[in-house]
Amino acid sequence: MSGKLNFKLRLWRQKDKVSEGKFQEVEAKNISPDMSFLEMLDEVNNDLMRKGEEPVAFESDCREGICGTCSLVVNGLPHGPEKGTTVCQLFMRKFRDGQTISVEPWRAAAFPVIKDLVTDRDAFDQIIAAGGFVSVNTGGAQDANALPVRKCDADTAMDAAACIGCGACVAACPNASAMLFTAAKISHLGHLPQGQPERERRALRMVAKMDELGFGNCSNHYECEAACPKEISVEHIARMNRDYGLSALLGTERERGNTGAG
Amino acid sequence: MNPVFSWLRSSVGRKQLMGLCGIYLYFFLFIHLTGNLRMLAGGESFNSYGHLLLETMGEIIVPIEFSLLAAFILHMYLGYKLSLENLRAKQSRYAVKDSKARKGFYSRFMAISGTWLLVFVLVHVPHFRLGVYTPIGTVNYGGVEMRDLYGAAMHFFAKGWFTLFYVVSFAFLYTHLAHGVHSSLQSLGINHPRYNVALRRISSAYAIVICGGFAALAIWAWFQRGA
Repeated sequence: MSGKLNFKLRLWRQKDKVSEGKFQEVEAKNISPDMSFLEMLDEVNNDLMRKGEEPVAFESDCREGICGTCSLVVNGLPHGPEKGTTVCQLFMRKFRDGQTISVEPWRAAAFPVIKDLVTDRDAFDQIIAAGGFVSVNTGGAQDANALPVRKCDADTAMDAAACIGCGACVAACPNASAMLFTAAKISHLGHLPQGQPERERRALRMVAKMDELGFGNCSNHYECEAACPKEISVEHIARMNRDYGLSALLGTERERGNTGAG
Repeated sequence: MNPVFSWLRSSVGRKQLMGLCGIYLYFFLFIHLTGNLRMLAGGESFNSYGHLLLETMGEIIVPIEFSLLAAFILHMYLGYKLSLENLRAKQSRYAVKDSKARKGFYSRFMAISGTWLLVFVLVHVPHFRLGVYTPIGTVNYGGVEMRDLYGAAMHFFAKGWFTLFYVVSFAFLYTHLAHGVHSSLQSLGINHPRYNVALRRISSAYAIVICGGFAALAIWAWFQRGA
């Protein structure tokens, strides 16, 4: 069938965390324009295995743009050239026939490469564990309308909650800063009534954890916003800066002594 | 730990303090420019203004000068520290680089433009404020002896290379302010969809007025040579 595409791939190969990596040049032949980038890599891996070579390691799970597992830098752009798209939803028809495509892992000190294109993003889980939750007492299910939420707040919280934790923000940032991710989580919970009791502690703890893990400092390049497959706005970073600054300087509700119902 | 110290140790807190120092410095630049505009009114007007600041209002102005020095040093220290940490956070670099943001390069240029401005300040302040490189003469207006800063400036800017150095420095200052004014507001959490466009325009207009104003004065002074 005509219309098949061929590409020259430069794939990042790295044996393990401590080894030096380098590019391997591989041909991708007879690729359907309707294949996703990951399906194309599956084909390449099939070819490699048929030749008795080791397939390239990369991560994927849902392949429908909602899980945040896939994490490839395609020609210098996290998740590739399309805006608001994860690399699993990027189709090969977006590339020119015969084009050379470089594929690299996320590069950040806090996201060490485990193998080839797979990085260890455990740091994000640690940031969440530091405060990205609401504490809820167990018991009977609450009535759905017991906590009214304004539509605009629900919408903004949802915009932030769209974060799938893929790490493209860190990968795109010239400073490898995790501000957009952390801000999205803080903002998501901070816009909802359930998130209020822990709002100040959350900002303090998540920012402290983020600093501790070796992410860089934000210097407002806004590459994160442009690379985010969910197009999360840097407005959330400003909001986190406000929450953090006020909580750090004015103290949390416990220190101010106005906890409890009095 | 004292909450103020933990704020100062955090990445967000340090950015906020750096931004506050920057805001203080860029308001100072506006005052400095309005004062310099008196050069256009001639030597007596300019020198008398300098005399008013240093002699009549010295008790207020000198502490303010020290606070500006402190803000400058703190801003510089935090800036370099941030830049070094950012280099460390990005151990390995991409072989192929691209960007979807397509913003100006000013934001990636802050450490370099800042370093240039440090050199500029090391030339400018000792020269015109302290008279280190060449002593500043005195002049007498109606029996009042005062520093002839106007004469010193005219003598300095008569040399093309010095004027060029100043103009280039103001170009660096423009790139620094064009990103810095807007960035400091974002770090302090000032970002609202209703005002963002206005804030960005005011930030660039401010940078253009300040840098254009200083550069125009330096060039004007150069044209006065031999007059």
